[in-house]
Amino acid sequence: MVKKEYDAIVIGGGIQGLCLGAYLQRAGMQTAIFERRHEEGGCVCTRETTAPGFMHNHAVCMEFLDWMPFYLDFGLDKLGGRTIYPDAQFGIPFSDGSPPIVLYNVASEENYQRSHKSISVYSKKDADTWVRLRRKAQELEPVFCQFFYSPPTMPTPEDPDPLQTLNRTLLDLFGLPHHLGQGSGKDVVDHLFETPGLRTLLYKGIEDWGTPLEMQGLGAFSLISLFFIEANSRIMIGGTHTLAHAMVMACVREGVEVHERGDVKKIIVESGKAAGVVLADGTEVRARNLVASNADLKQTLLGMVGEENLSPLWVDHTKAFKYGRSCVLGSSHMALNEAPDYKSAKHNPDINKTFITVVGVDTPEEMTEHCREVEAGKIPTIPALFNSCLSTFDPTYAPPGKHTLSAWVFFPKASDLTREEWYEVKKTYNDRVIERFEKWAPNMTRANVIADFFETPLDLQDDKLIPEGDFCYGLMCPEQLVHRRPFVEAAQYRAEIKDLYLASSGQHPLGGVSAAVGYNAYKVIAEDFNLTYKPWESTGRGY
Amino acid sequence: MDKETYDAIVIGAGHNGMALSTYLGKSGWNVLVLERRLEEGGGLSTELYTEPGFLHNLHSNYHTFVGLCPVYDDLDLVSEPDGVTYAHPPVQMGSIFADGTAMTVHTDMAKTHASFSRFSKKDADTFLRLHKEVKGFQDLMIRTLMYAPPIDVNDITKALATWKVEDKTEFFRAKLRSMTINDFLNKHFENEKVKAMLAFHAAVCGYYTDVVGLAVSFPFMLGKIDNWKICIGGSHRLAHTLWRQMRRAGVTLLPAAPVGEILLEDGRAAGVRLEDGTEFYADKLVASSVDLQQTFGKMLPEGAVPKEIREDVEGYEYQEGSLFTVHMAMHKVPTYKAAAFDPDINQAWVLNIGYECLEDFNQDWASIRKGEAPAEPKLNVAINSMFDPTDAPEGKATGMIRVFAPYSVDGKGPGVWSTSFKDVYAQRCVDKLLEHCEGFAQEDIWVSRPYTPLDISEKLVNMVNGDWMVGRISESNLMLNRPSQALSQYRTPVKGLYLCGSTTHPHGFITFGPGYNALQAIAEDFGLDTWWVEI
Amino acid sequence: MPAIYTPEWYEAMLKLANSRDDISDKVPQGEWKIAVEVVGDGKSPYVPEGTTKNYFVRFLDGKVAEYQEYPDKVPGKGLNYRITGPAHIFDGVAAEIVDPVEVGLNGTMKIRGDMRILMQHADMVNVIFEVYAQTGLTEWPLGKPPYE
Repeated sequence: MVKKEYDAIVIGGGIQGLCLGAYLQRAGMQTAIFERRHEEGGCVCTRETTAPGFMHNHAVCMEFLDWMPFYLDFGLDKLGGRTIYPDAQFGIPFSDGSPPIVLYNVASEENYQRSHKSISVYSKKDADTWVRLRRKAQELEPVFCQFFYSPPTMPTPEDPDPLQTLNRTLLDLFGLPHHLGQGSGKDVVDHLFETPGLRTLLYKGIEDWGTPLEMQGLGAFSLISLFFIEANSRIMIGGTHTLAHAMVMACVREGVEVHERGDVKKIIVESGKAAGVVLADGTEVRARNLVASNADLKQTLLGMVGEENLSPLWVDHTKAFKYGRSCVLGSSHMALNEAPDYKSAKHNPDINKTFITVVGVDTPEEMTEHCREVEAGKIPTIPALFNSCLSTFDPTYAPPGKHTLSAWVFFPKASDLTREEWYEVKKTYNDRVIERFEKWAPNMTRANVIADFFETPLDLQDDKLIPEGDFCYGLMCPEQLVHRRPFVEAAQYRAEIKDLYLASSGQHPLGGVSAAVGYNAYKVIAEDFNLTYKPWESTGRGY
Repeated sequence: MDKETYDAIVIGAGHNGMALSTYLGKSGWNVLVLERRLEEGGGLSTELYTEPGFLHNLHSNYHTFVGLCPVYDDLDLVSEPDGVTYAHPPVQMGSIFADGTAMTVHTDMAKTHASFSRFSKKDADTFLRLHKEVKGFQDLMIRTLMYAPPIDVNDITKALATWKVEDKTEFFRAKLRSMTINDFLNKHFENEKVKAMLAFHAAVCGYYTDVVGLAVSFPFMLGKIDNWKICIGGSHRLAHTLWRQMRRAGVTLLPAAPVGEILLEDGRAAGVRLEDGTEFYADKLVASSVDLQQTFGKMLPEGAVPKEIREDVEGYEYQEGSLFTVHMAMHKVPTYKAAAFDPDINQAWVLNIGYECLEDFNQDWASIRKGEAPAEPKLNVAINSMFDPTDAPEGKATGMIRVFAPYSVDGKGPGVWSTSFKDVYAQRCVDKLLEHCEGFAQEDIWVSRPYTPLDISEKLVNMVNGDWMVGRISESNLMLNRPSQALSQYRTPVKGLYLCGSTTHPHGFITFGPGYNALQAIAEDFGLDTWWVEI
Repeated sequence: MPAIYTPEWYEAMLKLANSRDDISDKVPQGEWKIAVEVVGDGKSPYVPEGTTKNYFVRFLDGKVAEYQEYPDKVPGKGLNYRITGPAHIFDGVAAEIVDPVEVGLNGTMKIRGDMRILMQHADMVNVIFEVYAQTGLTEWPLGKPPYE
């Protein structure tokens, strides 16, 4: 039951699609969003996967809410997107019960001191370095937002490689030597810090953004995840999906029509122009002005547009676009009687109430070995877990007195294993997780687990059509970053077909719950259609 | 900081709370709805419970009031551009019997008659007369007995006597008030299988067949035996549509916002405090759509209501049994041996496998009252994908087996349902299904996952004891007695506090009745323009 | 003797209704607005097929305060009841050969509105129909039901 025609059609109700749809409607375009699934929000999804009343997030980190234009311009906090800002953000306990390292948020001087104190147990020098660079990053937030919430700078004769320029700028701003830009994120961490435990934690911090730990040329880029993004997260009260709900409500309030179970099969191309879409049931819906796609690059161009409507260059580049191993996760979800009680908590109880803890590896060597194993397409022998027990902050995550744990581990791509092999992993991997976890937190025994569920990259691909289960929707490598994301010709969110825009997380800047792609695509559309609603000018925030 | 104030605050975003708030929003009120869970819709819950792409309705599956309930029209829930779509399966129900025969209920009553006739021509004729008679006054009765605050049953009986209704109808009798559904069926029908088919229909509606007094509701229920509909894309689509209509009416919904207490000022309900301490205020009213224990026991201070009300709350009775469900992700749709007898059985939506006679029901009710899960499960099977292919990946099917079961098992409490017993029992249900299948075997069930009576209460805490009807279906707890005489008109002794959930008349199930009727009481008290009343 | 459905016929009936204390006693106090729709069905010669006679009746404190024929459907806003049925059924009730309760029960005559009040004032319903069926008052210039 849809109308026959809209000004704008957005394919996909992930956060980028919802963001773009809300801005387009506010700018005066009658907009419809077609979402294939039964729920909007894509990866911003919370489910009672293990047992009723236990809320498990798929994506968990909400680092961008204080900066996110969509959140600010549409008052998502008043539409149910309520948050908690945990003090203890990112920490690592140790299997031998040594003092944990806990990084706190940067909302107060006191919290800087707490981070400093925690690192100082091992190295005053490292503590000073971390605090200095973190303060620097806090100062630079406006610059960072400008970079994130704007279309990428394109090459010019004066500046032939904007990524190199960005790298140099970042290193200069942080006062670091340029040679680090040529190396990997791991090299940067090793250059800056000496404490093994802290390095392990920060390795994980780099990987968490989908940046391959040892990939050359990403040294400078890794500073973004290390100092702007990590240890800066909010918790959505009730589950991250409340943010998706708030986004949908913002769309509805503006007048967007959001159609779930709206499976777009085809983008109608007429005389080189995107003219509408065809749904799975054959319904044809026309777009007066534009079609924008939140579906991933290959699905949009090769699936919905079709090679016959693309130039050979676009077909080749699209086919060559890589999905990564370094940004693929397996998710372990558990309903617990007790929250993990780490051996290390005797030195600092905050580790038991830290937003994200890294469990399963103690040393940089173990972490590196783990990453190499995954990069080779193998199921990691040792689960290096990035985990979160949010019921310790927000009781609505679990039934009274119980706890909800979700842990993520880097995994091979969906195509690295057969379906049957994945089913086997799904059935057995949690045993490995629990066995490992118990060495860090002795109460994490089988008996403590009420119910558990393991979600594989194949599940994500099946459920959400996330290619390969890649949460970045495209490998984070120098050839696919900034003005080269997904490839130079497509970096400005415009497809080669007129009035077709690309708005998946395979565009600049990247995945994660930033809603930056949707916002940046809107900026481009606003320019193309002379739209007058320009919050980057009217709000005074500068982006 | 200024107090955040609304005209009205509604506690709970089940379908009743959402409907009420939307009406009030459309009446120009500024309304806040607070929901304990993340997802809105309460029993309108659809989840990927087994495997990606398989949508399972975990609670409400059958929507039987579409076209009868005014809320669908008033709030544009089934209209353009983004209302829900319903499928209306041509073969609504069926029974597969041990002797290889099968019976089917169709939307086409001539076909139903033909199917029943193979068992008893007399019963088939009786059924047709009964159905026709009820259809005549169905709309009138449903609007009177469901979509209006309840009146004294004696007033109704008196009116029927004054109008000499008994002389003018074949099936309508005052003495139905003292009869069970079994009694009614035994009085009018002769064939046990026909009786079992009709009793099954009542049982799935939540009406136990051996409870005295329920015969009075039986004819009305029977009138809509051909109105069982499937919400395309899962029952949760209806929740989404309501949610959008709420927003369009300017209503704010906060998810994951469990209410800790109702704030009183000078004896008036003036707002609420969430469990996390956040406060919201209401100038006009607070309406609670959650159960009595939460509303009066947890959210109100000790002395807020008179002792009698406390006693009503403490004495409130729930259904004696609950439901145990096995959700299945399947490679294909099951087909049955009994299709040799009646090919239509392969197309039946709500399927009885196991109930052969009224005594079978009696035995199950007896087991349930003793706290025993029926040793030989008798099934209610529904394969939604046959009518909604969008609820499963292409070529696959989503389905469920349901069984009446006790909440607390063998005197050991509901915890038994969280042990391996649930898997054993689930397999017993699956085996029972497979016994009757042809061309469908264990390997065609890709994944199955039980959903227990305990799960019901864990997910939706207002469904105490796994009671999806949110209160006993018996004469002592219907109409003016629901939830008690003093609370039956949706008002409470606390000024400005209203009830609008399934503990009030009519009952649980996706009826919208409680929310709609609470609206009538509120409209009267606040002199609202009743724009939704179009005579 | 007025012919059925003529203004005089209604006039006479209303006079009769207002003269009867048992009606004023039984009709609840306050204002009650009722629409009656007599639908031409090809059987009754008094209402051409494809047309509908729309009547509006207002009771005030037990008396008929207003009676009007409308050119179109009486708007639903503010109405208490709407009674709709085929003309030959209305004719039959007036001729005392159709039981109004029976046609209400079998759905031939549709009643919309709050039935609870009608149930709580069941006597009133009987009396109103009794008045409607004052055969002595009615003339049938085009023939009388049952129609052949």
